Parts: sequence; structure tokens; C-alpha cells
Amino acid sequence: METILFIVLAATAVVSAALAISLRRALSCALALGVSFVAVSGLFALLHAPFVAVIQILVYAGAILVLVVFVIMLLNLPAGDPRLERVTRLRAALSAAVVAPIVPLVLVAVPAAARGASAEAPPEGFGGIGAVARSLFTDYLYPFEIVSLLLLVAMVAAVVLAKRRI
Amino acid sequence: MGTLAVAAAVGAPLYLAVAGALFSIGVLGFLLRKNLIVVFMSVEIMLNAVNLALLTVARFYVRTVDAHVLVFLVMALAAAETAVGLSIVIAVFRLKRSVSANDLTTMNG
Amino acid sequence: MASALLASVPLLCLAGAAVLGLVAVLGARRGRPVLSERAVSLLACTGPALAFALSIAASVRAASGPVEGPVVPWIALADFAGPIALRLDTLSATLLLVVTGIGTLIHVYSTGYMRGDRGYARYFACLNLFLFFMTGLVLAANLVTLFIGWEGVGLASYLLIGFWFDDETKARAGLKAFVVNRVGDAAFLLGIFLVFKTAGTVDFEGIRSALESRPELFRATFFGPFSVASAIGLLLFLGACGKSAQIPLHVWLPDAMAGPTPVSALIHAATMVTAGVYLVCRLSALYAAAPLTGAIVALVGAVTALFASTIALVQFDLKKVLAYSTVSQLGFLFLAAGVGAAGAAMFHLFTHAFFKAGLFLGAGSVIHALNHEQDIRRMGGLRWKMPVTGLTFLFCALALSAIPPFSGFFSKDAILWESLRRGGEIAPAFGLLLWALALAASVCTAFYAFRLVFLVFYGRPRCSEDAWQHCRESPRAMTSVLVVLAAGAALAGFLNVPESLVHGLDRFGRWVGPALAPEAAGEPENHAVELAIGIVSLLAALGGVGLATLLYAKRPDLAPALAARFPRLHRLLAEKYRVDEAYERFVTKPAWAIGDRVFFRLIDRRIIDGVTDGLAGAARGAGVILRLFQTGAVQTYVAILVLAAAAVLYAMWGGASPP
Repeated sequence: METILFIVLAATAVVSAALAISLRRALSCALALGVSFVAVSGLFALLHAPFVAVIQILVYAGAILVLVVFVIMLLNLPAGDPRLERVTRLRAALSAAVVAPIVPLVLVAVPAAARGASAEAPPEGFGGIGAVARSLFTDYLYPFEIVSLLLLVAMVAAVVLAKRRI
Repeated sequence: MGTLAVAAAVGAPLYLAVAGALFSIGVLGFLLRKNLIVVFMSVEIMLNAVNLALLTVARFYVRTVDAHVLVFLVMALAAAETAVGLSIVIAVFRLKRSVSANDLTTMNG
Repeated sequence: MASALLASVPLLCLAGAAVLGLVAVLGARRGRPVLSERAVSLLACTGPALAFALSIAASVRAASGPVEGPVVPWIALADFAGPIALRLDTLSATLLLVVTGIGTLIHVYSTGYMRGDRGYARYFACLNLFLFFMTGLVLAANLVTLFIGWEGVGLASYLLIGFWFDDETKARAGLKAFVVNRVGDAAFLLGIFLVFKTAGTVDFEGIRSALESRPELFRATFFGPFSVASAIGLLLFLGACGKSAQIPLHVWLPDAMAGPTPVSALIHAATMVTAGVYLVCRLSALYAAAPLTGAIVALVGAVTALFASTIALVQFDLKKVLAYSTVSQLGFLFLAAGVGAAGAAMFHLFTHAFFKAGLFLGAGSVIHALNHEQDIRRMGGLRWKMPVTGLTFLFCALALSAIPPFSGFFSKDAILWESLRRGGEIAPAFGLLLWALALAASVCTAFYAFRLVFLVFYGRPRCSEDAWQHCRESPRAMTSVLVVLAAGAALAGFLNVPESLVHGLDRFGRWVGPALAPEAAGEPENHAVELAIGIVSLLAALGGVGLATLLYAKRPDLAPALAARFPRLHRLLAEKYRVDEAYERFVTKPAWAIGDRVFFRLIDRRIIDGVTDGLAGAARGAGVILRLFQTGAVQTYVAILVLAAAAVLYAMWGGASPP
């Protein structure tokens, strides 16, 4: 059962991500990205991380994606000139070359990952909101506060940057 | 949500492979696309992949929720970054009337 | 006290030069003179005049023994000590008096000659500077100090020859003088090195004592038939050839006439060019120990004397005739110095200073009156318009032609006699050769001297009507000097009448003698032969004068006819034996070609520039390549980032499987 879920979700995530980077119109890409986000959220859930899964939906699919769509609509660019968007062979080759080293890493890591992996079920409440909150507000209080500050700064920055005149 | 402690049928390697694939797709998108917003989205894909890997490690190896906290913070960060980044895109668009990466090479040397 | 006295002689001139130089620079900046000409003249002449007075005082002191001057340490390396040191003995006193005395006279003359010239202050600054270096040269106690003065007078000469530097020909003449001198200077320096290596010192007294105490060092063979002393003597003589315009380095002196005439009189007649002779006389002890070199010196001098005097026969430029005459007379001086008669050489130097300066200044007077006309074909009959100049010129010409009782007779005759006598001690044929050359030169000398007298001052005027109207006698500043010099030319001879004529009147010889090498005891003095030789000289001189009278006073048609009869010979002489052309063809052009093709095109452009440009090009090329990394596109940077991260990971794990 879990296996089927995994395959479906994983396939959806990867395929929609691939679509997100290859579709011509930015809006289409954004929508495909949204699908990817949801699929990944499902994968998170399968990994016994229910809290993070929900946050993924709320933040990524709910806020970030909306913001991106908003900006796309605001800019209202005409459909991309196919000439400009054509990828030259050289560029494709170079990009492939850059990605290439990642492949062996993964190929090595993947079988090796089997070692030391404990497949048994994690304890109760693992990944639940209670467990995460407990860890967040005790061990990782500092980072939490700093990230809050960061969000404030980001908000101010976004306002300043997008204003017409300072 | 109730406890759903299910023993894994799918092992760590597969999750990591998916994460790797997603990351590669993100890198490719970043390098290949010229539309800045799509480039931006590729970055989000990469962050997703990283989050996935982190959670895999938490589930199969370390078996604590520290990774979850980290993932949470990463998401917060991603949100902040998106806000600022897209503001920059808007500002640049106002200046150059374009969001093509080709037109934004003034810092070349 | 005495050393301060000595030091102040050159220093007074230096102070004058500095002040006048400042005046000149300020005037040039402002666009008009800062001091009146009268003020400048006063300033300019006080230095040399005071120096002359001090020289007299010092010379009186020197009669009883050498006066030691200040010693300022300058170069001191290991064994080599080259301090700046001054010393005055009777030899240097003689030349010092000539330099400062005639120098002062010429300063006074110049106040008249250079009146109204734009560079009035600059002229006197350079002239004072010249006196500074010349007195330094004369007073030098060692070769290093002498060399400083030597180079300095070369510099002053360059500045003054090219004084009117707007004219490129004149400026080039200055350069030619300097460069030709340099050739000699190279040999001079080698000579100094050799002296130091042999004697361990460059001080004159030190050299003299080394010659006395360790003569074997100097007699050792240096190269082939040349002993060490001969080699030194030859090298120093080559330097002297440059400075004193002997063959083959004489080519600069005629061109140096481009400078103002008082400069030609002072520097290129009376003082600077005699520095070479002075050097040889200073080291007369050395030359005494090197008979081979002495013979070479004498021979070169004699040949130069005849060579130059033949050229002077057919020149039409007034100053050029006098220039070649100077070269010729300097040849006589070297002839005497070479055979060991340094005393005779110094005496003739002394008298020559008077009459040659007088001739030059008289020429200057004429040139000035005729508004810078220098061609004698356009002169004539000037004794009616310029009686003082005419008379003084005649007196000096008589002295130059060695007609008694004028001074030239006594001094030149001494040289002729000594060349025969001492030259004969080496080999009778050699003495005869030297004497014959010198005699022929004397005939030519008398001839061209009177050719000048007749063509310039006698006969019918050949200048333009306008020039004749404007021509008048020169101002008092100039004529007074002419008178003084003419008087000297007439009377100075009586300072050194040879024993054969009158007993006891050789005061000059006895004055200068102790400073020179002791005269080698040769054959006993043969008064009868000396007298006979003197009469022969006189007859030769009179013959020259007579020939000139015939050709230029009585039968003026004969001269052009003669020229037409021997056109090739005439052309050879008129073109100065084409020496300059030969230099141009065999030295200048090849040197230029080497400089251009090898050093410039090959080495400089291709090799050095190639390397430099290549390095620059390589840097630029590297830049072009490296620039590609800075595309400004974030995507490029991230690509590199990813690759780098992967590399780091690989390095960390090195293919080993992760835990």
C-alpha cells in the first residue's frame, strides 16, 4: 500500500517538477510547480512528518506559490518569444555537464544508504506537532527567534524594494 | 492526525533517489531557463529536494525531530527569500522592462 | 691661507656663473631682462678680473715652490683615492695667468661684441662657467680633478658653440664638438686607469715620484713595442687629440666657429684647446720615459701642422682660416712636447694665446662692423675705416708668421730648433723629417696670415655700398682689448730669447723649467747651428709673406690662375681633404646603420618590445579568458558553484561510501 502511494507521489512530484521547468508560459510553470509541492507534501507525510507536510501546503503551495502567481500576473509579460527561449546546444551541453557529477553521487549514495537505515517504524508521536514544538521551543529557541527577525527584515526589504520611490 | 507509525516498505535509498532527481531537475531548470521567475521556481524545487532528504534522514537514520525543526526553518526562510527575491524582480522589471536573464548582465567583467 | 687663495680662483668664476645663470633664467621666464646690460657686464667681468689678480698673487708665491691647495675627498674606494685637489707650480701658474688674464680681456671685449643680444646674461654665465672649469683643470693636482675640468670645459664649449641654438647648423656644431671630444675622452679614461694600475696613484706628484723610484714598472712591456709608459702616454695623447683638435679628431674645431667670435678666441684659440698640450707637459716626466710615444706625438703634431696650414691657404671664411691656423699651431705645440721640449711648447702656447686671440678678436671686430659678414671675398680696404683693428691685426699676423722682433718668431723658432735637435737624437732622419714638415707649415702659415691681411684690410673694398657706409671702428671695449693683445704679441717674445742670440734673457724658460721633467742631457748646445736654423726659419717666413704679397697685393690675377692650373689640388684643399666626408662614409653611416637596423629594429623593436608587448598581450589574453568567468549572469555562477560543491563532496568522501 505504502509502496503504491510512494510511487504515485514520487512520480507526480518529479514529473510536475520537470514540467515546471520546461513549460513555455510562466503561469503554466507555476501551476505545475504547485502540483509538485502538493506531491512532495504527500511524501513528507509518508515519512512520518505530518507537521512539516501540513506546513508545506500552507507555506509553499499556499503562500509562495500564490506570491509567484501574483507577480507573474502583475508583470503581465507577453508570451515568451520562442526565439529567446530556445536553448542553445552549447548551453544544454554545459548544463548537463554541471548536473552530471550529481548523478554518481546519488548512485553511490543510494545503495550505500541502505546500510545503517533502520526500517522499523519510528516511535509514537514522531514528527507530530507536539514533538516538533517541543524541540523547536527548547533546543532551537534561538534559531526560531532569529528566523522571526529575519522574516521581519524580509518584509521590510520587500516593501522597500518594490516601492516606486523611496 | 493520529499516529501513523507505519513500518517502511520503501527504503531510504529510494527517497534519497527522488530527492536527488528533484535537485537535479532544479539545477537544470536554474541553468536552462531565461525567465527569471521560472529560475526562481527552480530554486524552490531544489529546496524541496533538500527538505525531502532531511526528512528521510530523520526517519531512517537519526530518528529524532531535529531535522523537522530544520525543515520548518528552511521553509520559513524560503518564504522570506521568495518575498525579497520577487520584489527585486519587480524592481528590475521597472528598470529594464524585462525579466530575461540575458538582459541582466551589467555586473559582467 | 694659500690654499684658500687657490680655491677662490675657480670659485669666483663659479659664483659669477651661478648669479648670471640665475639672472638669465629669471629673464627668460619674465620675457625681458631683469638687469641692464651694464649691470650684467659689471657682474660678469668682476669675477674673472678678481681671479686674475689672485692668480698673480698666487703665482708670485709659486715662484719659490709649489703652492698646495685644498684637498676635498671625493672618490675613495679601496686603494683608489680621487680627491678634488688643487696645486700651483710654475707650469700651472703660466697657464693660469694666460687663462684668467686673456679670459678677463675677452669678457671685456664681449661686453661690446654681444651688445643687444637676447641671451646677453646667458652668454656671460656660460663664459664664467667655462673659466671655472678651465681654472679647475689648470690647478688640478691629480688626473681626476683635471678630468672634471676637462669635461666641464667641454660642456661650456658645447653651450657656447651652440649659443645661437635657434640655428640648427650652429646647434649641430656644438654637438659635433662634444661627441668628437668624447671619443678622445674614452681613451683618456683608459689612460687614467692604466696610470692608477701602474703607479697606484693619480696625483701628479705621486706619478712623478713613482717614475723616479720605480722606473721598471713603467718600462715593462705592455703590448708589442709599447712599454707601459708608452701605452699610458698614447692613451692620454688620444684624449689630448680630441680636446686639442689634432688628426684624426680635429674635425670639430672648424665647425666650432659657429659660436660667437669672442668664444672662438677664448676657448678655441687660447685656452681650452691648449689643455691637451698642458696635459702632455704636466706629465713630461712620463713622456720622457716613453720615447716611442713621444715620437708618435711629435709626428702627429708635425703632420697636423702642415695638413691644417695647407687647408687654410684656400679657405674663404675668415674664421675658418683662423680655425685651421689654430689646429696647425697646436700641431706645433705637440711637436715640441713630443720631442721633450715642453718648455718651448709652453712658451709658444703663451705667445700664441696673445696673437691668436688678437687675430680672432680682430676678425670679430671686422665681422661685427660688417654686420656678420665672414667671407673675405667681400671685404677689402678696411684699414681706412677700421685703423685700430687693422693695425692690431697686422701686428698679430706678423707674430703668427714668426717675423722678428714679434713674439711668434722666438717661440716658433725654438720649436723648430728643438724638433731638429731632439728629433735627431732618436734618429737623424726623423729630426730632419719633423723639421721639414714644420718648416713647410711655417711657410704656409706666413702665407695665409698675410693673405688674410691683404684681402681684408688692403686693396679695393669689395663689400656692398651699404655695408661700406655703415662700417666703422668698433667700440672702445673691443679696441682696447685688441691693443693690449697686440702689445703682448709684439713684446712677449722678449721673455724667452734663446741663449744663442742673447745671453740671460730666457726668464720664461727658467721660470717654467723646474716644473717640467729635467731636460735630458743630449748633445751640447750648438749655438752656431741654432743660429743658422733660425735664419733659415726667418727666410722661410719672409718667403711666405713675400708670396702672399705677390699674389694678393701686387698681382691679384695670379691667384685665380693658379687655382685654375691645379684644379684637383685646389679642390682637395678647399674641401679640407674631405675628411668630414670620409668620417661620414666610414664611421657615421655604418654606426647609424648598425644603430638603426640592429639595435633599433631588431633588438629594441622586435626583441625587447616583443617581450614586453608579449607579456602585456599574454596578460590581456589571460584577462580575456578569465573575463569569461565574470559573465554577470547568476546562472553561470551557480553552475560553477554546483560543480565546486560536487568537487568538495568528492574530495571529502573520495569515492568511499558514506557511513
